[in-house]
Amino acid sequence: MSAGNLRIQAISGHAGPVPGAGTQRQDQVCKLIDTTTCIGCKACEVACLEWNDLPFRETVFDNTYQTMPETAWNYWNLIQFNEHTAADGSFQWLMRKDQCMHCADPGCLAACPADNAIVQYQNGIVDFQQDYCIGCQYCVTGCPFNIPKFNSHTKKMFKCTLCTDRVSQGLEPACIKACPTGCLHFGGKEDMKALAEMRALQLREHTAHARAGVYDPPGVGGTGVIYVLHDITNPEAYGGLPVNPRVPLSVWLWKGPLKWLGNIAMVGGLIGVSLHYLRFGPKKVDGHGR
Amino acid sequence: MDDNILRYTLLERVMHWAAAVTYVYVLLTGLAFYSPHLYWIAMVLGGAPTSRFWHPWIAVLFMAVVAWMLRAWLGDMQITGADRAWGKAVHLYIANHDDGLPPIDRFNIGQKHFFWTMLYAGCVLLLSGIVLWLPEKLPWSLRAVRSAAILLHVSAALVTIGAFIIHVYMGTAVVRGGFTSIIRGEVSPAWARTHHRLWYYRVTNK
Amino acid sequence: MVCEIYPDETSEFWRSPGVSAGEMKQIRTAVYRLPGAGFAEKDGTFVNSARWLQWKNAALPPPGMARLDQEILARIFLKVRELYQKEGGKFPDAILDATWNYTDPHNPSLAEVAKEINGRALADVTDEKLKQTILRGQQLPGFAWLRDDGSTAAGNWLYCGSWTEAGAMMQRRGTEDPSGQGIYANWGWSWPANRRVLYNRASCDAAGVPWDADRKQVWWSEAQQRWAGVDVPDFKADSPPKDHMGPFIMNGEGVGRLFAPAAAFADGPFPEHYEPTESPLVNPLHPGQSSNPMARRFNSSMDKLGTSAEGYNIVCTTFRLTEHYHYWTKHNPMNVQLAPEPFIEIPAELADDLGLRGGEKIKVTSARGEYIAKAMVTRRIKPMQIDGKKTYQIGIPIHWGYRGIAEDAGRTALKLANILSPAVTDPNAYTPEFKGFLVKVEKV
Repeated sequence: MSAGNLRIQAISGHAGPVPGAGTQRQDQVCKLIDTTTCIGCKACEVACLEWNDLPFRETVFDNTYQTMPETAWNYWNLIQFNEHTAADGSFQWLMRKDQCMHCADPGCLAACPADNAIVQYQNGIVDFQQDYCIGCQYCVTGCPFNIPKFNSHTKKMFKCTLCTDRVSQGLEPACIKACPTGCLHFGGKEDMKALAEMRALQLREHTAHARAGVYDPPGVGGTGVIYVLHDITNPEAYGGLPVNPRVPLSVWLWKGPLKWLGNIAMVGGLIGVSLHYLRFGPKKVDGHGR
Repeated sequence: MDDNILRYTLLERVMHWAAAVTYVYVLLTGLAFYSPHLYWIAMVLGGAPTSRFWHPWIAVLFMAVVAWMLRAWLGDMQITGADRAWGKAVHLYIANHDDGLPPIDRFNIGQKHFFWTMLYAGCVLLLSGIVLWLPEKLPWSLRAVRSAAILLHVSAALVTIGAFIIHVYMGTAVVRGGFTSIIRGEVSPAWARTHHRLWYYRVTNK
Repeated sequence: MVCEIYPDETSEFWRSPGVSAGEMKQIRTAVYRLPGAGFAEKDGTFVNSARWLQWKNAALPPPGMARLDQEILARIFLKVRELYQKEGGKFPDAILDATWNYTDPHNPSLAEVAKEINGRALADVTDEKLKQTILRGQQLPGFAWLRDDGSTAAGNWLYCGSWTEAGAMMQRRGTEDPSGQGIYANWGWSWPANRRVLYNRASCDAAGVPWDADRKQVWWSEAQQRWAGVDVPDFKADSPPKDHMGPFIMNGEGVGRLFAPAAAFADGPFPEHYEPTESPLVNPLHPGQSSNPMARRFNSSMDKLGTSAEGYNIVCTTFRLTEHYHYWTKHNPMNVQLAPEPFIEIPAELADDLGLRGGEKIKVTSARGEYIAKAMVTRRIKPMQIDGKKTYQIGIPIHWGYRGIAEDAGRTALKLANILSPAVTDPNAYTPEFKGFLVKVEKV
């Protein structure tokens, strides 16, 4: 993996074509999170804060081991804890590492109006560029995972960067380096997908988790972060992981048909009044002195 | 000229231009956020984050002026029987056969529709705009409100843009003397008789 | 005298919660708290429970006025010696005559100290059997060279061999594992004598042949007439199998024991089940002697025990969090961010019985004291059915005390969890019985 991974294939709010669009690269990166072997130790939370020099927040006890209710502008990666009783009465303490999913079809990028505020590199990493961000928070509307978070002082949006600064130098992301159980893996998308499927098969065949599977949602084109879940039919048990995440219909409507309609209406209006003037001209007033 | 009639007081002209200037600013910055091809407008107007900051404030100012207008022109903007009669003959107005039109008061039905459109669409813009201004106050569970706000905001804005195009066109290109009246405040008796005869009779006590 | 990197409970004892100003004045102990260095600011070794000595280098210097342990000790020692020289005192020999010839006597390098601990020859020493001589001043290669006639000196015979003339053995980082059994003979240095697996002679049969040919650690070599292997044999190297020397060399009889002989342990001879000193039930094996009669108990006025009959009918245990390390990390903003306040884990059914919701403050009381913190209501702890009765267990993480970020901000009750647990200890290892005792729980 080289600095070539920083070539860009999609840019938010951008007029005209993106130079890197449409080129095919083999090395889509992928982070694999095996929730079945996570112990909720939070080494990944700490590693992310330390690598990215994020300041601490004051937290309060809220009847859970979960550090805070959701990610924040200065807390990009959070273990979601859920005491889950299944329909058959069995009990599990589920732990899921929650962070940006680095979607292949990112809703945040589609919704963002600010040129260059969100970019997608050819290796699949979706990155916010705060210099260009205007803090409008449309990205929050576009994201089905509730990831982008607002800093009310600087008025910028923040999220997990998949350690693009480390990845571009051939290093694994900080969270993966810190994980003590080896439940986090990093590599090419195909390799990680194969590893995940192998693990899910192992779970289905050798454990009681007959519905184990891999979470790589097609509704957003697949993601740069995939999960192995004990029960692929119930992702919501894992701290609200959406069942079938998609870029919201409203974003598609807005950037698609509504924009075309609007453009036609405005341009049409201007053309219309021009034609009217050419045909009918101004009104004349009899005896009107100027 | 001595027999010119005062159509718009100083206060009314100030109201109008305050609304116009604030609307144009909001329109331009809004267009920048609407289309990547027009994003450069935000750069020209002081940068994108600056535009994002001022757009809602100037918009609130616009709505305040509109509220002021509402108070001043509520009576004048009521749609009457005379307006409806004129409306039925609007094809004559469009084709500049104004002599065939029935008489109307201070504002024609087009102008009144323009006023109410800007007011109602403005309200939709204001309410949806507040959601877009402070989205961090809205919890994740209410994200449907955010989606709805975006669609409503854009749609209402397009409606006002359409109305604005017609308004500016009519006032500058079509109705000669109209633009002068909203700057200097005066119109000639002939102009008044032609375009707003009932108003002319009313203000000259004829 | 406390040397620490944060304000610890021991040095704060004199103003711990509940001590009045009047009582403070009665305390006759002066407390000195010296700023010490943290583990990343010190050289030296970590010794783990696999007996490996692994050298580490300081990652950064101590901040501000903090000093390394050896510097603090050295400066105190040199000052005391100076006072002894000037004023005299009791038993002066050990102080005035102590060898202290470090390169920097005020701040001895741990490399020099480690070499001292390994041991060196103070005079030429000869081993007749090996036909080898170690010259005066040289490091000793192993504890077999230690003499009782003053010709050698060592800090601890266990570590003899850790820093030899060949260099600092505990600094080695060899990753070779030729046997594939995870025996890294060249990684660090293992006491004693770099032996990695104790009693490894027991991996062979009576003839000195390994039981499992795929997992050979040591074996008898007829050719060399010595025990050889991938590990250092934990055995007399030249004792042939036919002499039947037993592999469990620390037992006089050389074999493992199925029972403990009298005088070897305070209790025994066979393993037996005893209930903890505070237990919700009577020992079903022998109700007349529920708990271990040899368990050591303290007898101060604070050392009361409670029973179910007195209302202490909930089992309590103490535990540790991943987010915190003992009483240290309550001073570190990062850890406090992860787990900000003390809490008590309560089973959901018990919470329902008490009408308690998560986050509400509760008071846990034992015969010895009380502890107040917020409840964490959880379904992870199920009630137990013991002897036909439903019995609840609660858990208290230990990590909060008198001082800390949350403590100093007034966000805790400034209580210590171990005020609840009994000072009863195992009769042999003296491990305290902090993991199972009785309490009552009520809302605050």
